[in-house]
Amino acid sequence: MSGCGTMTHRISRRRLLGAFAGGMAGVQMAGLGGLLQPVVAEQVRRRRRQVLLVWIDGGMSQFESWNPKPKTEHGGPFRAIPTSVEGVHFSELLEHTARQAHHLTVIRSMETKDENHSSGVPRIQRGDPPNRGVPYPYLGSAISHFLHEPKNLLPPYINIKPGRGGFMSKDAGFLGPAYGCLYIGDGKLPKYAERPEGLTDDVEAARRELRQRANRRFARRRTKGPMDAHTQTYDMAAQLMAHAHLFDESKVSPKDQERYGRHQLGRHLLQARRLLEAGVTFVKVTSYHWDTHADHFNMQRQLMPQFDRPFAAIVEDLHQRGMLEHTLVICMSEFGRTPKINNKLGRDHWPESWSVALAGCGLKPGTMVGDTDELGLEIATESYDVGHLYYTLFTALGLDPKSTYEHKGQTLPAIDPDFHNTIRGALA
Amino acid sequence: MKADPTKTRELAQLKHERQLLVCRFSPCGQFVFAGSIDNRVLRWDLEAEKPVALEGHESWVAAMGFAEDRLATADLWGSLRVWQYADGKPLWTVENAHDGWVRGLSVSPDGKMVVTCGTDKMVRAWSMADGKAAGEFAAHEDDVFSVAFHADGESFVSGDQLGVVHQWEMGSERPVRTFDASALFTDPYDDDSARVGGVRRMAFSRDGTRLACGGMTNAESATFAKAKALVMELDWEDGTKRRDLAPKFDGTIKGLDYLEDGTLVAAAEGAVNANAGQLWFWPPDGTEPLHALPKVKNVRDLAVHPDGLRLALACFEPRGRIGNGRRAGEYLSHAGSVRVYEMAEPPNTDEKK
Repeated sequence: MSGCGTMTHRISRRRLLGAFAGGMAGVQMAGLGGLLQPVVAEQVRRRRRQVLLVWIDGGMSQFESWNPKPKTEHGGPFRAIPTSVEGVHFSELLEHTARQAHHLTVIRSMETKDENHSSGVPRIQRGDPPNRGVPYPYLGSAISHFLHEPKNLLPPYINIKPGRGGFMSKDAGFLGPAYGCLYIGDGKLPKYAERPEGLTDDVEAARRELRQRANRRFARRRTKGPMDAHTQTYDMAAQLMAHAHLFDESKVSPKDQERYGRHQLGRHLLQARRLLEAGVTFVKVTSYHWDTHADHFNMQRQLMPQFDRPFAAIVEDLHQRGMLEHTLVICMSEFGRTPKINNKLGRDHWPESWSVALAGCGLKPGTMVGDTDELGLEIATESYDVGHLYYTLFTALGLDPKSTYEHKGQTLPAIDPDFHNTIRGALA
Repeated sequence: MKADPTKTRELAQLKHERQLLVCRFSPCGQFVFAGSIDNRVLRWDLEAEKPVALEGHESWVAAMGFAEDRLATADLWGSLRVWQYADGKPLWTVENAHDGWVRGLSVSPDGKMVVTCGTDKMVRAWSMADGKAAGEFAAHEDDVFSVAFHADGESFVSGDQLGVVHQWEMGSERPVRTFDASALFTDPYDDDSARVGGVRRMAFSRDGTRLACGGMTNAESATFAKAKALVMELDWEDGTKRRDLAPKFDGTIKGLDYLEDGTLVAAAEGAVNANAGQLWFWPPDGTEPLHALPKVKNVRDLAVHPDGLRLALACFEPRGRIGNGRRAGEYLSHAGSVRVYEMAEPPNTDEKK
């Protein structure tokens, strides 16, 4: 075949696929090109809705973050500090984020059901859907389905996380692998993302043509879905290779690296900003180690600053770039942490009264919605469950929260009809 | 009478409705004091059960020490207070002794100085008479957890999160010596996102020849701080490690001191269960404890009475369940107690006929 010369093609198909197991259904991949130019940025801003989910895995304590209760029975040793919203206080551990509070909408009245990680994490990330006998998609997959534009050629749902990367098709639930999640391990492109030296554009094009020809022939008398997913995997890989500069930390200004911090979560949130600027529809950033059943207060002194500084930076940056108008920012965990301090000076799991922080698109900034009682034990106002939160998020994004999916002849509500109410006061 | 650790028995349980972090006997031996997470300092007369509360702190009272008739206490909002301990009269306060928590303090043997350490990586000295700043010692690169004065009254040591122990003298601008206790620090995820451990407690032997550093080692995670309790004993003269006292216990050394004869006594908070604290006594040489009390309550601190025969342990006392979520019924905070032990046989009250 012309173009496949004597060169040993060091990146085999299988090795590249190793990072993208599962494949996706057809979404064309050509990308928007590097960081957005101002004119293009303006066009994008007008059209596109995007989401940033900062996933605090393990359970962030509401006492040591969004709803401090200093000098009370369960309040712990930290102070509360004023924020940029008059009369509103956050924990002293959110020193930087407190200055961005006027951009935030904090729901202090979450009351959910699940106190376990293994069931609670998928439950909340799926929106606690009704039990219809099918696995619902995670929020990122759902948003990809409802929001992603075919002309947007970047992967619609990316999760920047510590550890290894890969492709997680099961996030998509019944939507199928087309809406799965591309995991970027430690913010870095997968291995073998660079084209081998000596492999020219002509040779690459010829290889691609050969592959596509072989795939078309193979697909002639076979089911479309899996073949499309398989093709999509290659297209995604090609797209990422074309946008490798988005993952090149040397292209980030030292000033930004200082502002976000050079620690893991700082780098990942800065990476997230770059992907949002490039037009990725849904970016999730995952932070681990928050499940502090022991030595909780010492650990909060370490963990909260790692979150505070880059979270404040990305909220500020999105605002300054005009992106908060069309970007929904969500910071949440699977639950909060107990008021009661345990036998190891820790806090345990607590879904009964906790907080979720939001910002951006469609929300009322500088708003604290609801509150707990003075001890932080119970919700003192109207309480909200996961379904209400998702109903509100959909509405904020301009999506119909009563939308449905069609799956194998079954009509499935996107959000549990029992929770078809917005969180009062959260929306603009 | 000489203490006999093998005869250790509980004498009293002095209860408080909230958890305790630190305890000390007064120099006169009549009282035991404790610092609580309800921001109070509690004083029990050892002959009575009900404590007197000293009010004034605005955060958890995490450190205390005595000089003659004075008690120094410090909290997690950074304040240092000195009281007349017999009647609880406050004498002076430094509100911002540290920018952050005060984690530890130690009073000089002559009672004139108190040194404090904190989360601002600093060690500071203050006059016990009036709270005037008397020195600042900067060399640590992380939270400083503990300080201890040597019996010579000139030197003191400070130990931090990373297991670095510096020796200082009043007026020194740099550490006189530095010791390696890094076995007491773990980065369990190897990515610097969670630093577990630190030099939680330090104590000098009465003759000043040894320094014991206590904490935990080989932490598996930050979630449950599951690690092995460890005491590292250093030779003060040459700075070398004399021995590791590793009792194969999942937990953290939270209390540490020496008896007059060189016996090292240490107590730990268990990593898993409320009742899984433990108390050990090690002879001056060797690594096997000469006695242990398993299944004491989770311990937060330990103090030796001036008579050398009694111990106080600041303990956790459970109230209601420990665990996730809320169940029906009252939601009570856990409590604390100071448990007083005697290291001697009970007096023989039988009359010989």
